[in-house]
Amino acid sequence: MLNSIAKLLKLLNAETNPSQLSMGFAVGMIIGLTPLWSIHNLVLAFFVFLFRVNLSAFILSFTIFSGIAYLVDPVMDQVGGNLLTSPSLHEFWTSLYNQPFWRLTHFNNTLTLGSLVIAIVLAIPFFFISNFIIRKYRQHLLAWVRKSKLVQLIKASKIYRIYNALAGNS
Amino acid sequence: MLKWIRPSGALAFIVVILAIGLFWWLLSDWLLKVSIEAAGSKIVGARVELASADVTFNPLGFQLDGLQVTNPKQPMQNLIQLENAKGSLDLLHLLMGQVIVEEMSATGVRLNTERKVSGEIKEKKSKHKDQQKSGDQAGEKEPERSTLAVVKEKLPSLDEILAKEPLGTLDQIKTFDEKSKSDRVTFEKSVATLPDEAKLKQHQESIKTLTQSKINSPQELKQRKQDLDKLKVAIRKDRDAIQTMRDQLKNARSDLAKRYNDLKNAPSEDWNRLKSRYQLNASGAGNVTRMLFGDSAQVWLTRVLAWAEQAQKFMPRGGDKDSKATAPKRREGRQIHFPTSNPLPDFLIRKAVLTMEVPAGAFDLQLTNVTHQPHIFGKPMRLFAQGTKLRNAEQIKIDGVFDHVKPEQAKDSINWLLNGVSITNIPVSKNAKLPIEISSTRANFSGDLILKDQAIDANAKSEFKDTTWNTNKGEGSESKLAKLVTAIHDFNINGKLTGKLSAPDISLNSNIEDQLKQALGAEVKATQSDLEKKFKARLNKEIETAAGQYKDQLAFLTDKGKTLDQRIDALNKMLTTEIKSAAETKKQEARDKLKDSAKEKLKGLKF
Repeated sequence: MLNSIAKLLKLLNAETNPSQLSMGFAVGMIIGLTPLWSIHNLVLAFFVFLFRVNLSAFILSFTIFSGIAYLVDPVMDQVGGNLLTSPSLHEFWTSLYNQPFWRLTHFNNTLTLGSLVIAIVLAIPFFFISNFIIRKYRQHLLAWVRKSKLVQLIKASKIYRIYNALAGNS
Repeated sequence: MLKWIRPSGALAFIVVILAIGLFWWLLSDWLLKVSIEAAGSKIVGARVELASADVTFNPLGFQLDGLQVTNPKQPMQNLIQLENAKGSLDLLHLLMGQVIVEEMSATGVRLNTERKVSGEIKEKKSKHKDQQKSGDQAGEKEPERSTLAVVKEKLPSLDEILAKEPLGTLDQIKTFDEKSKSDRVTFEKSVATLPDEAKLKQHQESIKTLTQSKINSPQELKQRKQDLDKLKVAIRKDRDAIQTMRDQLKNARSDLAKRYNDLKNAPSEDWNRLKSRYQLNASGAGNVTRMLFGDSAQVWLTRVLAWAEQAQKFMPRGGDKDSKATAPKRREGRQIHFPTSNPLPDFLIRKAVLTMEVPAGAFDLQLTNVTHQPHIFGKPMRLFAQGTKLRNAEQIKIDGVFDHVKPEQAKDSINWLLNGVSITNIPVSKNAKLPIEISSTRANFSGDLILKDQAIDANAKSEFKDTTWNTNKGEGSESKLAKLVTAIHDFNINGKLTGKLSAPDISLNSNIEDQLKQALGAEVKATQSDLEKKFKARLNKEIETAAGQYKDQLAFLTDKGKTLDQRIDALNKMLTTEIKSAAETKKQEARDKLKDSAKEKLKGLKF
């Protein structure tokens, strides 16, 4: 059992490059903010699995932003509603609406469109900001954290020893 | 670039997708069941239960078994229940978020069936109780509403009338008696003041003295004449007084006769006055329809209103054009629709064929364009049913249009026709005093209903022929009424429902009333006639005491009148008396003698 958990942890922490971590956070944010069962989320999920994106970061980000989404739903719905009912975009939406492919994306749902637009707009700066924070963290805080009592406690645990062995860090 | 790709990840993705797919495939039936129950319960406001659901993937479709939709107003009854329903779904539209059922069939569809357990949703229990407390009058249990209070005016007993009603006869008897007594006293006093026999004798003696005693001189003659004149004045005065009294007695006699005559007519006048109050009039018989059929009408009204209320929830009304106006649901958002050549709503059943099971038999009911967004689809929902040669009916035809394409001009209309329906053992009145049941009958039903702007206008006609009844013995006049009703075999009932959907007015009329009026009229007439005889006999008995008084009074007035007449005659005779001189007296004596002898001689002659 502990071996299986350790293997899972290894898998989840395989990609530790700051960009890989940031990508995981950014994609997790998009999927967390938007309605789960959407085609774009399927594409993004494939992207996360196919490319070397840190899965732990992705799962963590998805969980956090799912909670945040529930709080900011009305705002995202309002944005989507405004976009879909904008007179200047009416023809554009009408042309999409008459194509089955785009109907499958549920773009005409206010929450889907609003949350996706907000998530995409936020994802880019979020990627760079999280990248910057990770680098700085590693540069200035990582050594201190490793020396902390909490980390010492975790390192002393059996599951960490097995994980470490699997990771080839023993 | 390749270093960024994780081949095992693609494999893992496929495995995950397949796992999710397998999960859905294994649980799809359960998920469909739970979804229908949850969504249905939310929409209806009461429990929606499904025995089982089955999703088919090739072709994409569904099968539902044992669906029960509770009536939210009567949790122990189902609005609709069906044994089996199946339909096919359009996959592409389903992926687009639209449930489009091309064709659906359902069998064993029954309305208003009994439930074994309550279908009330727990959190709505207190609200339901409040609605009941606030006087939800569409409920079935309202036996007191149409009691026999409308036929209260039964014929009272004679003692009740005499005790309760003010009667002119009794007052007149009292007045007659009192007046007769007071008149008698007055007349006796008055007569006592008149010149009596003694006075008359006195006058006669005086006249005798003046006329028969010897006259010695002309001066004495003159004096005697003067005395006689004075006496005559006194006699004349006495005669006038007696005459006046006699005239009063005469008037009193005619007044007495008139009063007695009025008294004899008083019972008839009293009866005429009371007759209109105690007669069973048209309004009493007219309420029989409501009394007999009011309970059943209320039950049907409850069902119709429950269905209309549920339909109103499903169909948009004015001002509810699209989801733009409604509050967005959390994590669901709103669907915005754009112009397209083939607009489709979020939910649509293009055609549904329901095999309805009703007491008269089974027939197919066809529904087309069933959707909660007719303003998007652009076509109204239609309902059509036709059946011939049913088990217990000759023909059934129902035709309806539910046009909510323009929600602000929404209008629902239904026409129905059921002919030759055989009905047995139908309770009509559950009133404890007058329980009546139709044992068997053949009926025709027809009608129409329009629902527009939250107002309902419905007309229903029904004809019943060859009707036989069951009734337990009622009480008192109700027993009599039951007997009269059960003698009627052919009748019709017409109902009208108008007003606001939340509280419509129902009116019933029936030719039962006319038939009852005739039957009741004859019966009431006979009873009234009997009561009239007894009433008059009782009052006439009271009048007999006055009759004695009348006879006495009449005899008194007659006797006194006769007496006064005699006195007047005597006094008049006295007034003709004259005083004559000696010579005139002798002349008169000689004349009288001659007359007498002539008479003697003539007697002996024969002609």
